[in-house]
Formats: sequence, structure tokens, C-alpha cells
Amino acid sequence: MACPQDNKILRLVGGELAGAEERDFRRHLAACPVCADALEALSSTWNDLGAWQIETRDADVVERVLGQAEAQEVATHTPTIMAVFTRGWLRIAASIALAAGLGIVTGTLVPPGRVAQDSASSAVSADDELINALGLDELATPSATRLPLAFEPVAAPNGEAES
Amino acid sequence: MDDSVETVSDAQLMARLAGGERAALALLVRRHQRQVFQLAYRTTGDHVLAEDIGQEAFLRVWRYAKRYESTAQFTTWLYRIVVNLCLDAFKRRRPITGDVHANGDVEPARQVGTIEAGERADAVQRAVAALPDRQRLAVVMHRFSGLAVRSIAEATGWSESAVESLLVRAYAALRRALQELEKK
Repeated sequence: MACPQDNKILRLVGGELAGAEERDFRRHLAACPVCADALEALSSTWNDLGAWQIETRDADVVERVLGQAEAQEVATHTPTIMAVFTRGWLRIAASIALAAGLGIVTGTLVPPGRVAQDSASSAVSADDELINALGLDELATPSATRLPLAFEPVAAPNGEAES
Repeated sequence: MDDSVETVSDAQLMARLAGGERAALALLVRRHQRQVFQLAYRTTGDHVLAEDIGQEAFLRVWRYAKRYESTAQFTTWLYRIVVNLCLDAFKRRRPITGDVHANGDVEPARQVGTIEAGERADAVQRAVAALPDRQRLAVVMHRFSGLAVRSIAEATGWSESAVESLLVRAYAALRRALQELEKK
């Protein structure tokens, strides 16, 4: 087809031309043998193609589509095992970070160089508080000088006790 | 849903679907599955693939219902989805020559009517299958799905002049192929 009216021929055969446009083109066809031949060829091919009819099998995809849609909807609202796993680890990691942060703020966790001294004193302090709270300070005093003595030391005149 | 299926427009069904009413999807599928399947089958030449494409197309309709704008015609939107799936299928698979069985045999066109009509249908199917992908897609949409050139352009994203060019070449090739077959 060499005529520049190819697009019109296509539209005429496809039923897209109507009214004045169709009338004008049919007038052109009557005067243009190239377009008339092209129209005849295309119409013939168009009709030949009509031989290809497809049997519509019982391919009813309604149930399949609805089933898939439902499955996908459920999937989007149900976290996957991986998501749960990842989220669980994130929670644990966040908890550890929070605990560490609180520990530093309250002084429970200290830089390594101060651990021995501070933890020893704070441990003693905590023990003392507990003992005092229980009223056991007289029984459990860790210092030997605070043990109840079997005798009263006699103060010497020069201030020294007699042995 | 108490409306008659015939009186509810595609756009109304899409609005219902966007609102989460899955029953609207069933109506849309029942209304359009035949055309979708035929387009996919004629384009790919494979029944199983055509069914898969049809199923996936309607799942995408469901998935993207909220993005659908009622200013666009539903069928054009649906065909655009089907066309994209067909183009994806072209990239993945071998050239089509009708239904190809596992043993490599080509299944002839399903016979409708007389034996002569069946042979004719088979010849047409082979001629269409031999077209380049884009020409085949254009001619199937034009001749068999009854889409206008402008609708094909909208569904494919190609320009109208590109669609016209593809159609002119496709029909010329089909004419030659069918004449050759007649000579034999």
C-alpha cells in the first residue's frame, strides 16, 4: 500500500469512520484506484482472519482469582516468620541498649578502670543498708572491732587500757 | 449488592472494589474474562499461559483498584495490564507457533465447524503466530478484540501512527502468508 490514505483504509475497515469523514473517503476511493485496491486487499484479509474462532474453554478463572486475592490479602496482614524473627531480635537489641543506657545513667555500669573500687564500696554500702533495714547491724558487723567484747577494758590513768 | 449485573458499570464496580468489596471483582472477572483470555491466547498461542495472564491481570485489577481513575475507560486500563503481561511473556519464552506440547508438537487451532473451516482457522493461526510480537499484538487487538487504533495506542503506550504502521505491515504480511498457504 503506497497511498498516504493507509490510515483511513484501516479505520474504514475497522469501522472507525463515520458520517462526513466516511462519505468523503468513499468519494476518494471512487477516484483513486490505488486506495480502492488497497481497501479490497485489506477487506479480503480481514474476512480471512475471521476464520479463526476460538472455542471458549471452561476457563472460568473467577474462583482462582478470588482465592488468590484472599490469600494475598491474608499474607499482607500476617507477618512472615522472618519478619517476626527480625522484629523479635530488634526488640531484644533495643532492650539491651536501653538497659545499658540506664545502667550508665544510674552508675551501675561504670568505665572499666573504676569497676573494682566503686563496685566494692557500692556493694558494701548496699549490704549495710540491707543489714540496717533488717535490724541485724549488731550481729553482722563485718569489722572485728565492732564485735561485742567479753569484758570491759579498764582505762588506765594514762589513757592506755590494761591487757 | 442488589443491582443487576448488567446495570452496574465497570467504573462503579471499580469504585466498590477500591472500597474493599471483593464481590465486585467477581463481577468484573465474569464480565471480561472471555475477552482477556482470547486476547492473551491469540497473542501468546498458549492456553495455559493465556489463563495465567488472565488470572494475573484480574489480580492486578484488584491490587491496584485504588489507583484506577474513572476518567479512563476500564477496558482500556484492563487491556493495558494484559498487554504488559503479554509483552513480559514474549521476553521470557520461545517464539510461538500455536500451542506447543511438551514433545514439541504444535497443536492445531481448535476446530470450529467443518474440517475445511478448521484447516482455514489453523492456517490463520499459524500466519498470525508468525508475525513479529508487536505486529501480532496490534493485529489481534484490532481485528479480534475490535479495538480502535486510538484504543490500541492507549493500551500499548505506542503512538497512533506507530500502531497504524504496525497494522499496515501486519495485514500485508498476513495477506501474503495466507495467499502462500492457498497456493499449497
